Amino acid sequence: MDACLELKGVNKSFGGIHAVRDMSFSVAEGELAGLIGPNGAGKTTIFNLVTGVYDVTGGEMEYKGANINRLKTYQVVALGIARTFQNLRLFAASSVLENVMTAAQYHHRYSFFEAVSHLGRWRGTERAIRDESMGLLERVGLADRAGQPAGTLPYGLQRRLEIARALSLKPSLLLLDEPAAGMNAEEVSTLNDLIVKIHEDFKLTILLIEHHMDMVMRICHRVVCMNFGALIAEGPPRDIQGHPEVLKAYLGEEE
Amino acid sequence: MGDYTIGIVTLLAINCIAAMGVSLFTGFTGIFTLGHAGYMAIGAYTSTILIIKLGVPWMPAIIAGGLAAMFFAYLIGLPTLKLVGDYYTIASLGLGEAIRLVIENWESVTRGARGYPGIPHYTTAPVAVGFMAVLAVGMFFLINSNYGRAFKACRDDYVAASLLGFNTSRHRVFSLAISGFYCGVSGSLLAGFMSFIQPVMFDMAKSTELVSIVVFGGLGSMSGCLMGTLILTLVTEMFRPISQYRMLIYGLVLVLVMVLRPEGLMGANELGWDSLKRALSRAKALTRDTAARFGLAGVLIGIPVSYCFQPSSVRAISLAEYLSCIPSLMSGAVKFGAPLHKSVAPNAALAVVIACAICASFAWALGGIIKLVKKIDDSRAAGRGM
Ligand SMILES: Nc1ncnc2c1ncn2[C@@H]1O[C@H](COP(=O)(O)OP(=O)(O)O)[C@@H](O)[C@H]1O
Ligand SMILES: [Mg+2]
Repeated sequence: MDACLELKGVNKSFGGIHAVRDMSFSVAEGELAGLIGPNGAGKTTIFNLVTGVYDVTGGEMEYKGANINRLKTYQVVALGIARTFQNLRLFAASSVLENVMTAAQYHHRYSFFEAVSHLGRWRGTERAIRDESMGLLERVGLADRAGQPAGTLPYGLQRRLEIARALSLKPSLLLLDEPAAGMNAEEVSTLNDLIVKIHEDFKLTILLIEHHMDMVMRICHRVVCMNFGALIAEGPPRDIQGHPEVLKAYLGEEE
Repeated sequence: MGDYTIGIVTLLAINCIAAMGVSLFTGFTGIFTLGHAGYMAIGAYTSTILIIKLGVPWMPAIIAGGLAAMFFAYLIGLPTLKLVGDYYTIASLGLGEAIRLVIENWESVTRGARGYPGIPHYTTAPVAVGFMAVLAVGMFFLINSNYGRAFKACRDDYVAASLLGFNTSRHRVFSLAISGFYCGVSGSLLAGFMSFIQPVMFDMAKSTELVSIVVFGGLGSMSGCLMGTLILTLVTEMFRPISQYRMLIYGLVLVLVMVLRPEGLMGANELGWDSLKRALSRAKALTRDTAARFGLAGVLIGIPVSYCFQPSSVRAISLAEYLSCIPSLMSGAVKFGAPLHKSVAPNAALAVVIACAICASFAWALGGIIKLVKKIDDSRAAGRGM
């Protein structure tokens, strides 16, 4: 299988903190891969590097064979990469629907003059954006909350909204940063179903960060585990679960 | 309608256009600015020079004034709006003054600090109101489109916005350019209204006034911006006899808004049935509040008090006399632009406002104290009950 995303010896340091050291791994086209590791391992930093929020200090990142080291955040979107955020970054005062529409308009353009006059393609395009956004809200089970300000949703639903917003960019690689954080067991299990389902239906490649092992073990095809910024193990979930280094990393955290 | 009313309406329309520009940039794109009077100056001088020196008709000259300011705003935005807005805010502090100083010193073209006289009076009320209507509709449409959502996204969270595919710095520059256009048109109209322009008309105070209007009306609300213009322009007009304290009153109004209603008159809401209903229910809730009841009583007491005591410093007059002034103002017996302190009306109005404010704040404080005492009593009673 072709690699969708490939990291080759990626490094990132913030002043004295070496947050990512020599990370090399790849995510194959169509895979649902997990990225795990204790708190502060550098998982979110990897997402920030891939999406251009931070510049890499060293190493190469490739997306579908093309180097993405120097791309800006908005250029990454054009390639088909979308993400969610660990610390929710919704437009809290805007309605749930408007949050998704803000992203969905990426694939539906009209000119400035159509915008100030509400003539021409404005009406049709706005309807298309709205319909598409409502469709996605239905997918994640938020259609009945479309008019509510996003900030007033419970956390679990805000995370689902972030997923809907990312999906409306029609990505081929979706990066999910701890989508289950703050959810109870029941919510986590419906979220699992949702992720598996969108992975199939939208023909996505997904890289999923998760702090909790069991969720990753249940749905991921392959798992990458890191600690202190470095790769410690990589392979199918069954192997990772019993891997001595991984156990040490997680046990070490609980001490 | 008399000349005075027509003058006020024209001025309102002109201010409104500039305020809409600032509202787009500060309210919807989230970047504070303290130099937008500079763009008004560019518009005013461009159109004036085009009309007087080159004989261009006024209509294209107004548009050209807007475009010149827009181009200038674009040039300034490119380097200063790259990362986040904070650089622009700092730059804008010097920017407005820099534009003013250039105009003041470039005497061969701008005639310097003494000003540019003899501009034809092309800004009649219909022209100003017409421009305002067209530009307001355009702005409302723009806000309710893909651009509006993009600006708000860049304002609320520029990291998230850029990861939704928005080139945030380009959007900021674009927003500034449009707001520059609005201010340029407003400046051009002002030139045609006053028939005379002078660099001091576009000083720091004017920039502050524009931002005050937008903050007062509510950041991120176009109808709030219109209401802010209406109220603050009328307040300015009312306090014209003591115009040297105008900035003080502006400051006071702003501080009051920030204390009592930090989100501005409208918040980020637009005027509509929903917001009206919400305001009504809020008002109803206020009437159940002891402190607010006392405050209202204070206002009601303030009105007779202001007439009974008539402090000599404000030379208050009788109610009948005050009311009799209004028709003469409206009918044009007092010309717009004539020094109003010769007429007594604004002084009387001032006296009423001051007396009301004093009575209301005393009464409000009294209500607050009573409420507090009651609360302490209640908690004591609760303590005994245990
Ligand atoms: N912007 C930043 N500046 C300084 N240090 C950072 C920054 N972002 C992350 N770090 C550090 O990098 C390390 C990895 O963080 P992160 O990637 O968020 O871990 P996690 O695996 O929990 O997502 C942490 O030690 C964190 O303090
Ligand atoms: Mg993290």
